[in-house]
Amino acid sequence: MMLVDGLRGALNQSALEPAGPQAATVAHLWWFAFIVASAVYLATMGALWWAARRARRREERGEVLDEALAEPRMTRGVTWATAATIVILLVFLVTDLSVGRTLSPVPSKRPLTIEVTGHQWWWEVAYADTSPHGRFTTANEIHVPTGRPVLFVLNSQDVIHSIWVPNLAGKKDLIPGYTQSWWFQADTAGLYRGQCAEFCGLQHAKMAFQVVAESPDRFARWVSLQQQPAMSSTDSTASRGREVFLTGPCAMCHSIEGTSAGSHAGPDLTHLASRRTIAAGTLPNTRGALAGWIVDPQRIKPGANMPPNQLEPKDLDALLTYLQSLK
Amino acid sequence: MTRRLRNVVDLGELPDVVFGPRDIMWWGTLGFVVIEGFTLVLCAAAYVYLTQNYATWPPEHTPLPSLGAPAVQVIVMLLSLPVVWWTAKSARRFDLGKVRIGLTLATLFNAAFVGIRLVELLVSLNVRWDANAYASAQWMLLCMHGTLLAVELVEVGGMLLLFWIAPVEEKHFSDVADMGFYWFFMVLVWLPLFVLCFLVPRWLQ
Amino acid sequence: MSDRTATATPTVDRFEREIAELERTYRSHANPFWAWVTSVDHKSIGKRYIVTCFGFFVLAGLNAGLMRLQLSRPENHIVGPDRYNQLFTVHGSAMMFLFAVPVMTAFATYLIPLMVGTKEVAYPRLNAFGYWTFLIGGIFLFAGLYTNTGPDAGWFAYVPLSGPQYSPGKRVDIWAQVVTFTEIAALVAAVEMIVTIFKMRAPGMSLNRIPLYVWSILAVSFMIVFAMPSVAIASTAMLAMDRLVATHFFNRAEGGDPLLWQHLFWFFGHPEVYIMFIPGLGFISSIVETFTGRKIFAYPVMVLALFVTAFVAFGLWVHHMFATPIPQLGRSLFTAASVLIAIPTGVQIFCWIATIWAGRPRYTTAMLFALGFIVVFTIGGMTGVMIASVPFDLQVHDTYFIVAHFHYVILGGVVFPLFGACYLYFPKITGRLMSETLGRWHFWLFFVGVNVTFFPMHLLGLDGMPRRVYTYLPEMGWGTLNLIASAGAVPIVASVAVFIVNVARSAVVGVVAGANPWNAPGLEWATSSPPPAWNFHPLPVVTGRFPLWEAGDELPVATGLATDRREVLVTTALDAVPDNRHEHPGESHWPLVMAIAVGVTFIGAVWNPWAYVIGFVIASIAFAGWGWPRGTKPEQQVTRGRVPATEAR
Repeated sequence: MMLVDGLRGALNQSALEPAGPQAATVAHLWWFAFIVASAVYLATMGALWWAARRARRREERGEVLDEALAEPRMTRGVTWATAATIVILLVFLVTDLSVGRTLSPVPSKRPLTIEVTGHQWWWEVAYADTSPHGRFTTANEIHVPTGRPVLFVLNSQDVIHSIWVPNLAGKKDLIPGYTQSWWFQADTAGLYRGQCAEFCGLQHAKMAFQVVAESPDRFARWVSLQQQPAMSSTDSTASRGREVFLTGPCAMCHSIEGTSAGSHAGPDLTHLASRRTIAAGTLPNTRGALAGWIVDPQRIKPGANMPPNQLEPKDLDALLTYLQSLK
Repeated sequence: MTRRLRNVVDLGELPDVVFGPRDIMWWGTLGFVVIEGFTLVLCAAAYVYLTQNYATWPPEHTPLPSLGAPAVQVIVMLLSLPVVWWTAKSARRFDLGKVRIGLTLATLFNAAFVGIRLVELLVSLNVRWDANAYASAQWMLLCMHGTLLAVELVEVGGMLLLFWIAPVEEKHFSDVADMGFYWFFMVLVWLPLFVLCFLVPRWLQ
Repeated sequence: MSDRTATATPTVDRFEREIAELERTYRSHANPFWAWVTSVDHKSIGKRYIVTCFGFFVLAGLNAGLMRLQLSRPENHIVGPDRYNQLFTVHGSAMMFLFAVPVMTAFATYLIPLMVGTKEVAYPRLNAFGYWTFLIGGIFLFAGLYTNTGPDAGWFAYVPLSGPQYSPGKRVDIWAQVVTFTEIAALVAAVEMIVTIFKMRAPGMSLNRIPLYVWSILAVSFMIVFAMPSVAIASTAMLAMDRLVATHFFNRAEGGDPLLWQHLFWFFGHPEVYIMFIPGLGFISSIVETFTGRKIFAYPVMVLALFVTAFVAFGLWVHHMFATPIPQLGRSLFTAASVLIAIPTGVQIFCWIATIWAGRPRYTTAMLFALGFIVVFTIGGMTGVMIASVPFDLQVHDTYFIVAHFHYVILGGVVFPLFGACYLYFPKITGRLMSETLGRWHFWLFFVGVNVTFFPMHLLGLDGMPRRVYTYLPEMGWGTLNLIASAGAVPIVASVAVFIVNVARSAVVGVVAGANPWNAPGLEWATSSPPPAWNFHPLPVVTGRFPLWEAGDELPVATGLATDRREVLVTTALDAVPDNRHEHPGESHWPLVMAIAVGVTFIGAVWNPWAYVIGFVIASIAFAGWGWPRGTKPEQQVTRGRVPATEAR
C-alpha cells in the first residue's frame, strides 16, 4: 500500500499541473508566453520562407528587383517587424512584472511557519509554531494543511541547495549563512514531490522530499502524533531492535525522541514509520527497502554520508521491527 | 580573373619610429592598462562588498593597519612621477645619456616600491591573510597591485640592461616613452587603493 | 585575385622582385617541427587554434555522449555520480572555455588581418603565446578528467561546494587554473584584435567600411576585456587562494560570502554567452552577404545592434541568481534588461530576412547553416525571453528547460554559424572547396540531431527534471523523453563524423578553389587561396564597403612597404589614413617558453604556492629573451649622446 502511494506521489512533480495559487499563476504565465512565442516564431519563420521563395521566384522568372522600390519596402518591413517585437516584449514585460508583484509578498493571512534546513543530501524539517507544546523535527516529508499559506524559513547546513515543488511553487536557494523565506499554498490535497534544484554534490540527484497536503483536520492529527516522543513498543523483538539502535552506530548520527539517541548529523527518526519514503525520497518506506538501505546505503546513494552497516541477520531483523514500530 | 593594380599610395616615406598613440605598441600598453585597471576595480568592488558582512571594518579583535610604510610608499611613488616623466621626455628626444640615467633611477624607484610593498604586507597590515575575510581582502588588493609592481620591475630592469649593454635602436626610445605612460597608471591607480586599504578601515572602525 | 596574377601593369617586374624578397624575409626554419614551434604567422597560429578547438569540441562532445547514454534509462549504471559529475563539469567547462569562445578567437586570428587588409596581427608573438597558453590549459583539464581528477563542482563552481571543505583534493584547483589559462589567452587575443582592427586597416578602410564580421569581433573583444577579469580574479585570486592558502573570501564563518562568487562569476558568465554568439552573428552576415550576392540591409543598424547587445549583456548577470536573496527592484531591472536584449538580435534577424528577400540566394551548405541558425537560434531566443521572467524562471531555473534553452542558443548561435563559416572559409584556408554532398549530409544530420536531442528537454524541465542529476527514478516518468533525447545524439555524432571526413578528404582531393570561389566582396578574397605568408603585396586600398564587388578592372593598391623585413602599415583609427610603418618580429620560440613559464606557475600552484615565485623567475627570463633586440636595423642604432629626432621625417 505504501509502495503504491509512494509511486503515485512521485509522479506529481510538474510545473504544468499546479495545485496551488502560485504554481497556477506561473502555469498561466507559461501558457500565455508559449502561445505568444509560438505565434512570433511561426511569423518569423513564415517571413523567412516567404522571402526565400520570392527571391527564387524572381530568379526563375528572370525578373530584376526594382532597387528604387526595394529599399523602402525592406525598411518598412523591418521597421514594422521591429515595432511589433517591441510591443510584444513590452506587453510580456508588464504582464510578468505584475505577476511577479502578486506572487512575491507572503499573504497577510496568518501563515504556518516551517523551518527547512538543507543537508548533503536530505532535508531537515522543523515545525516551530504549530502549538505551544513546542517544536518537533522530521525529515524529507513536509505536511501542510490545504488552503492556508505556508511560510518556510530556509537555511543550509553545508553547501547551497534549492527547494522546489513544481506543483506548488518555484524554487528558492538554501544558502549557508543566509536565511531566506519562501512560501506556497496548497489548495488541492495530495502528494507532491520536490527535489533539490541546485547542484550540491554527489547525491544531488537523490535529494528529494514529499509534500503531503491534507485537510486541516488531518494535518492537526498528524501534528499531534509527531509531537509525541517515539512509541515504546512492548514487543520483545522491537525492544531488542531498540538496543541495537542505541548501542550500534545508528545512534551516532540519528536521534529518536524519548530515547538517548540525540545526534542531529542525520535525519531525525522519531516517527520514521509514519513517512512514505526513506533516503530523501529515493526508496519507498518498506521493510525490504529499509533493510537494503541500512546494510548498503552506498549502493543506493553512492557518496552519501551514511556508512554501510554489517549487522547480524537477527540484529537487522530486530532493528527493522523497531524502526517500523516508530509510527 | 585579372585585374590591373593601380598604385595610388606610396608608403615608403612614412616614418617607422613614432611615439604615443601613433605607435601600435602604445595601444597594446593601453589595452593592458584597461584590463589591469578594470581587474583592480573589480577587486576593490569585491573588497567593498565584503565590508557589508561586518559591523566594523576591520572586524573586532583585528588590529588596524599601520600607516608608516604605506605613507612612505605613496610619497616615494609620487616622487617617482617627475623622474619618469623626464625620462619619457628625454626618450622622445632620443637622448641616450638622459634615458640611461632616467632608467637607472626608475629601476631604483621600482625596486623600492616592491621592497616597501613587502613591508606593507608583512608588517603594516598587522594581520595574516588567513585570519578572516577582511584580512584576505587586504592581502588581495596589495598583492594584485604588487604583481603589477613586480612585473614592471622586470620590465624596467630589462630596459635598463638593454640601454646599457645592447645595441639600442630608435624604436626602443618609443618603448621607454610607453613605459612612462604605464608607470603613471601603475602609480596613480594605487592612490584610491591606498585610501581603500589603509584609510577606509580607520573610518569604518 | 592574387597579386601574382597582376599582369597588365608596368610595375610587374618590381612586384616580382619584391615578392621574391618577401619569400626570403618570411622564410621559416628549415626543420618543419621547429618551424611549427617558432611560427608567429597569424594564419599558422589561427589554423592550429581552430583545429585544437575542434579537438576539444569532440572530446567535450564525447562527455556529452556518455552523459546521454547514462540518462537514456532511469536508474542506469553506466557511470556513477562521481564520474558523472566530472563528465558534466568538464563538458560545460570545455565547451565554454576551450571551444565556443576560443574557436571564435581562432577564426578571428586567421581572418581579421585578411579582412582588414594587413600582413599580420598587431602582436604576432603575443598571439603565439596566447595559443600555447590555451593549449596547455586545455590539455591540463582533460589530463585531469582522464586521470579521474576531473573538476566535479560544475562549470560555475559555486562555493561552498567548490571550496576547500566540500571539495577536497585537486579537482577544483585544476578547474580554477584552467580558467586562468583560458582567460589569459582570451584577453591577449582581445587586445590583439582591438589593435589590429583599430590601427592596421588597409588605407581607406574607414570604420564605416569594415565588414560586419569585423565589427562583431571588435564588439566581442571589448566585452572580453571587461568580462574576463571578473572570473579571473574570482577563480585565481579568491577560490584558488581559499583552497590553497586558506583565505576566507567565501567562508561565511569568517566574514566571507558565497554570493560574492556568484556575482563575480555571472558578471563574466552572462556576457560570456554573448561573447560566444556575437561572432556567430558576424559569420551569418558574411554568409548571407556572400550567398545572396547582396549587401546586408541596414548596415548602420546592424552595427548598432551588435554594440547595444554587447553593452546590455553586462546588465543581465543577476538573472542567474533569481533564487538568491536579491532585492525586488534589482530583479525587475534585470528582468527588463533580459527581455529588451531580444530587440537588437531580433532586428538583425529581420535584416537578414530582408536581405534574403532582395538577394539571389544560393543554397550552398554554408547558406543552409545560416538558415539553420535562424530556425534553431530563434527558439533559444524565445525561451530566453521567457526565463527573463522571475516567476517563470523560478519554476524552470536549473531544470532541463534551461539545458534546452541554452543548447538552442549556443548550438544555434555558435555552432551553426561556425559550421557555415567552415564551408565558407575552408577554400580560403586550404585552397580547396569542401564537398557539398557531404556538406548536405552534415547539415541535415546535425539539424535533425540537435532538435531531437534538445527539444524534448523543454518538456522534461517543465515536468520537473532538474539539471546535473546523474540518474532519476523510474517512477518519475521521464524515461521516454530522455530516451528520445539520447537517440538524438546519434545523428549529431554522425554529422560531426561526416564533417571530419569532409574536411580531411577535401583538404586533399577537394576542387581547387582559386582566390575568390564564391564571388564574395571582402578583402580576404583578394589574395590567393591559401594566402602567402605576407597576405598582401602590395597592400590593397579600399574605396567602399565591398572592395571586390566595387572594383572595376582596376584594384587600387599601396606600395612602398619594405620587403627585406616584416614591415606592416599602421593607419589612423577612424579613417585608416596611412600613418607609419612598423617592423614586426620574425619566428621565435620565446612565446612558447613564456607559455611554459605560465604553465609552471599555474599548474604548480595547484600543489604549492611557491610555484608563483618560480614561475615568475622563468617568466622574467622568457621576457628578456622575448624583448631582446634583434639588431635588424643597424642604421637606426643609437650609440651615443643625443640624436636629432627622426620623428619629423
